[in-house]
Amino acid sequence: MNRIEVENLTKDYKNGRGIFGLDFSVGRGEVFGYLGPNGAGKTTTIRCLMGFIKAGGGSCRINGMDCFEHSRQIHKNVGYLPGEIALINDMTGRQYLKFIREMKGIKDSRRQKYITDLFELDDSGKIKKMSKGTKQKVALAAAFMGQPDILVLDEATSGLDPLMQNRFVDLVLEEKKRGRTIFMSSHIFEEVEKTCDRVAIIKDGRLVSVESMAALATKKQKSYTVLFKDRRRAAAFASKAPFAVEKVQGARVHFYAGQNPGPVLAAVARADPVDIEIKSQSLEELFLHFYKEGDR
Amino acid sequence: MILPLIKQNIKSCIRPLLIVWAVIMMYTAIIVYMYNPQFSRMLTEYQKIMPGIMDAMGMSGAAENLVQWMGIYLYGFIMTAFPMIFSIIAANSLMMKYIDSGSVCALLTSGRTRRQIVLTQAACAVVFVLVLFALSTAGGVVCARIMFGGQLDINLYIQLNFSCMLMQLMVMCVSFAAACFSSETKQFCTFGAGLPVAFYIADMAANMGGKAENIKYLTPYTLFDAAKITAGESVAVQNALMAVISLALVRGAAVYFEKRDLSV
Repeated sequence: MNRIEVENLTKDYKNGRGIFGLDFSVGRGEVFGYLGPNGAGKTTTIRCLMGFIKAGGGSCRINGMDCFEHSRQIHKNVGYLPGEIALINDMTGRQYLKFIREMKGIKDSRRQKYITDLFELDDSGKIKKMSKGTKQKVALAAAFMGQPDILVLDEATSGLDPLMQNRFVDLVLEEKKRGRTIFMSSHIFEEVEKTCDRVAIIKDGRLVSVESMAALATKKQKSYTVLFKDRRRAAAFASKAPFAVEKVQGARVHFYAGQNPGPVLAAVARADPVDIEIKSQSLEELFLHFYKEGDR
Repeated sequence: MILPLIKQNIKSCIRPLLIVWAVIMMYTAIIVYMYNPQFSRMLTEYQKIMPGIMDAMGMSGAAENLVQWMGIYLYGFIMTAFPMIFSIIAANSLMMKYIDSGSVCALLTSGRTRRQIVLTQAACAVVFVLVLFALSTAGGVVCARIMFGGQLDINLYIQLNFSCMLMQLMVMCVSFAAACFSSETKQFCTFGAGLPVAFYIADMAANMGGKAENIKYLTPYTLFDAAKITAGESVAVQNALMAVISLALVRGAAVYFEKRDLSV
């Protein structure tokens, strides 16, 4: 059974912003990455999922319940980390976590202690005096403290240092092993690559692609840079190449090609190059490619 | 009702409540101390010399006893303005601060309904006004007993405070409703603080009489009539109206808050 179901979800802010006809679902125990450039509609989708805003059209459901109408029942089983951390500033971190624990009716504080220890959080200071990273750790502890079955995390590692980002990845993997369903938006490709089973890419409020990480891996291309003796030879190669050339810079020709390098190398060899550089496309480059694709 | 939220509300509002109460008590003690029939006659003469200013401050009419004296010189300005300031501060702390800062998402994701949240906050707002007036009434009675033992008509004084409290509850409900309807502090300041202040200024203008008297129909503050109460006349209709307006405002605010988009 799907834990999260989004069907034709639309929220139109009338100025070209919003989300339009989103369709995706997240299965039980799945870690689902939600990626897109700034202003693409990631946070709007999450606000709909959390029942903060009412969908203009379509539907979004968690555990089969409408996210706006049944937000109370949904939140009993959902841990949420907002993209814009807004805690209660006049409390200390410890007071805030105690307040959230009481609000959620969580009696056991061991999980909270585990998270604060994992992120080496000093929760004794006033929240308004805390750095962004420390506030992020408090918010992480609040999201994970109740051991919810579903976690909705909006840019969870924003403000965390690389060591803490790695610990976050470990925590997500640990939660995944326990069968939790995790929906996370992120800009950190490495963290997505390490944790997610599937990703959705959103651009200008519309889904560009929903892919499994395994399928994405097969889409990774190789980047080729071939150097010729002169411009003329480079131009001749570019005009006859059996693949799309990205750009020609003087005597250099740049292009991407798929997984099977044999025919590419044969074509390059026939053109008598001076040098060749081959790089594997990173996930980041692949996503940026998707982002650009959304522009077209 | 959400107990942890109530505890948090008490923490955030206890200080302004005590400060406003202390100011009210200071003025109450001074006004009671100043009471004497001769001085009252002198102030009535002042009212004749500068009718505009005294009337605008709600200080008009002749006091024949202590409760009338307090009705004119305490409830014309102090008991109108200071609880209003508290109401604006409290509505901001109880509702607006959470919405403006985005920390309302911590409340919304706690497994409580929006109705539970808004009604808990509204109940706290009402109770804080009740507590402020209960403490002020008790303080006034103590001051009068110490300085003019037995001269204060306690029954009328309680009626005076009850009616004034209903007026301040109405002000609190205006501010609270404005907070529920607003997304930013800027909007709240315009309606949640601006409207009560505008009503107050309209009341001052209406008190000056003449053509300006018709302004009284634009401000709900005129529903509180201290002179009538201290003269022993019934203000049941005005009291009922203030209670109904307050209830309608809270209900409207709660219904809107339950359905509104909160982009946090």
